[in-house]
Amino acid sequence: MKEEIYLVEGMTCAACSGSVERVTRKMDGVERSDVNLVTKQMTICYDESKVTPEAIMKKVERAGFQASLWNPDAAKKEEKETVGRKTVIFSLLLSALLMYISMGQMMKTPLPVPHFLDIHANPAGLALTEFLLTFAVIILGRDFFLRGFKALKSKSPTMDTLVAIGSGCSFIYSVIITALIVRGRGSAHDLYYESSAMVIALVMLGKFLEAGSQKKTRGAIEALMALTPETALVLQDGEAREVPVAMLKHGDLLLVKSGARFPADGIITEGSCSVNESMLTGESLPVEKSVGDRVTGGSVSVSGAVTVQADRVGKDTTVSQIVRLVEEAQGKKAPVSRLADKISAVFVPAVIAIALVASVVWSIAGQDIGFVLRIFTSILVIACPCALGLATPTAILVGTGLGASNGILIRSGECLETASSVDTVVFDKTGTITTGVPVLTGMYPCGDTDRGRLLALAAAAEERSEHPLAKAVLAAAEGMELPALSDFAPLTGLGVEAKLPGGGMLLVGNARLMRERGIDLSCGSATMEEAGSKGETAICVAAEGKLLGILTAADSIRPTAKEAVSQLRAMGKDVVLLTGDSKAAAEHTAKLAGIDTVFAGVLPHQKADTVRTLQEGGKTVMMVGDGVNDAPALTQANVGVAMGGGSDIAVESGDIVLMHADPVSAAKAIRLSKHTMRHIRQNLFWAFCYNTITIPVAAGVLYPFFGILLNPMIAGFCMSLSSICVVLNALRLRRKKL
Amino acid sequence: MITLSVPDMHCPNCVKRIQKSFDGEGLKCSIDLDKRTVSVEDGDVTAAIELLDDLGFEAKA
Repeated sequence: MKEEIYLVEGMTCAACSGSVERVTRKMDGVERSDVNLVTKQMTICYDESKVTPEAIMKKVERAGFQASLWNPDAAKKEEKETVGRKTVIFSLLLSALLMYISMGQMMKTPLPVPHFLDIHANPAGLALTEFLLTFAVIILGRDFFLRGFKALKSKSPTMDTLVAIGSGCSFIYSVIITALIVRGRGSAHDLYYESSAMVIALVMLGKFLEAGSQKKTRGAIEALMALTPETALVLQDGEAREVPVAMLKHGDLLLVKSGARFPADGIITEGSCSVNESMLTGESLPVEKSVGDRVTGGSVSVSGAVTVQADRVGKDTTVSQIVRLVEEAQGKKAPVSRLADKISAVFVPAVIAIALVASVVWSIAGQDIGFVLRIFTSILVIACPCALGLATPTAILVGTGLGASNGILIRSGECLETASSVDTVVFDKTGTITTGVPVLTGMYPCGDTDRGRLLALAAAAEERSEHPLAKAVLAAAEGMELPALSDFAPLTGLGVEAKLPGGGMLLVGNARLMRERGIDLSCGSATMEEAGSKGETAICVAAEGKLLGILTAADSIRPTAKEAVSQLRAMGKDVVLLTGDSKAAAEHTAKLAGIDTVFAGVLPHQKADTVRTLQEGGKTVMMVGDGVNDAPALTQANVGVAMGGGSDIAVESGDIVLMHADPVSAAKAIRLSKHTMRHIRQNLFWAFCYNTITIPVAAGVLYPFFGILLNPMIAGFCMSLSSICVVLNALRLRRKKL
Repeated sequence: MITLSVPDMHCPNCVKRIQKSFDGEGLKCSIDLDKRTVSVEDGDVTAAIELLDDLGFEAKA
């Protein structure tokens, strides 16, 4: 199976993207195909043995579109402004001028105009000037007319059609009046040039602002992409040369100076530095790194210069992977967006029908042609459903972007939607609720043994061991003066043996080792029992045949685990702990984290079954695990959350990937999902609500009762406003604190 | 003349694509977007359905 992204061009509406999805999904060997109309991306997953990229492109071409393999540079070129800034400003100025000369004279105290434009003295001059000004605006906005009438000709009107017919009708009506005025009949009061021009100008302004806001919603990803520097300093034969990042190879030695960004992922081979990895983890405190530590491209060396051996460059760097993940997610549609697609398709023809009916009704009611024309134009203009089309994609774009900047990677719109309805959160224990690394929890000397001596002896014995428990002991003894031991002998599965400076034998290991050497454990037995009940591991230290004391170590709970659980509880979620460990250890951890429900002693392959059992009980389950041994459970869960430590992202296993090894991020992901869904619903609601309310008003329903009538110009302004509102509402998400 | 129902067709671009593709194959058709139908004139209906299928539309006679 292979997943690729294609750029599909020539799509204009939801039906087009639907067509591309249908033809590609039908291909034998294609597992999944999602097309996003906004980003023009098709995310397709297929079996390489059955389908080739050429076949896919050919299939899409046969359907009447162009497909090419997607690459970020090409996509950037695509984003030119749909409506030029100058065109917008110019048409607005012209329309404003029109407003002034036409409406200004109709006010109680008329605004001054030159004599040749005087409505009473020279109506023909006024009418012709207005005609010219409007004509100029129509030329500037010709695209609306071209697109709109073309669509009408093929009997499938679009939003542009609404604008084109609306503005066009006012224009033609005004031209007829102008002809009458020039012949000395008719009244300049009946001219509607200004509304014709203003509609075009305002819709243009709307499109222009919309394009700007849509660009902004992509901001988070672009910010991520901008993280990698353009060039890198590569060490060759002891000299540093500046090389474009694209030329970097696996194994290159890179010199990174203080304050610079790492150009690629790699391992430090020389020097040490403080690294700010906030772009990855959201954690703003710098982390100390030295020789042997892994650094991630895009993070900043706050202080200190280092040499790094690159091992992931270009497309493989963590940042590139994140960008790819986020973009993939944005290309996958959330089920909720299909609703909007369906409704938009019936909407436009329905609006034209309503406009016609309303016009006929008002004509029969005896209104003059000017009035009917205003009604007709207003309905067409106000009903533009662009707000509907924007509602979902903008919210998802912003939501996934917000997630990415908080170290939460959302892999599909679908899981973003599901996460909001999760009611049970299952945490894996080791590596998720706990750090997965044991730390020393207690020292229990026997008799008059000094605590410091007990620790120092144990540390000295474990000094050469790579065992996690040994590391826990050494970490606790850091900075202590250790006795010099000799004749180290590691005893596999038992512990270690060494000779003391004085010649006696030192034993450090488990109870079995002690019993084998016939050492009396009576002084430590109570400690060991208690440790066992808490799920801790006991390390016995004995010298010269006598037990000196017991050290206990346990996998330490993550400092934020309790906070995460209480946050989830506050949201009304059931929290469950799932682990392969013993019941005692699991319950101890659960108590520390504040979790009530525990499933202990569950083998990795049974974890998925446990999740399934919960689901069969009617629960929507989010499983949080470290992504390696939990993979089946992550897949089984409604939402699988893989917790990656920094750069080692378990990319493939989860629907959501947490960059920061922090259980609170799981709660954040749910909140993010809730916020995003709420914004989508708000957007859809407002877009629909807006049209349902404004269309009757535009149709003149309020006129007989209150004398309220929409002017086509105001309608045009409202219409643009609705799209802008939707986009702004989505952008509001960006400022949400998770 | 046989009229095919094409429920998924709902924009001018769809119509254009269908028209273009039929023209290319030398098939005559008339498309009604309101009724969501494509009428094939004395041509091969199976070929028309296949053609529509390639374009991503499900057609029923």
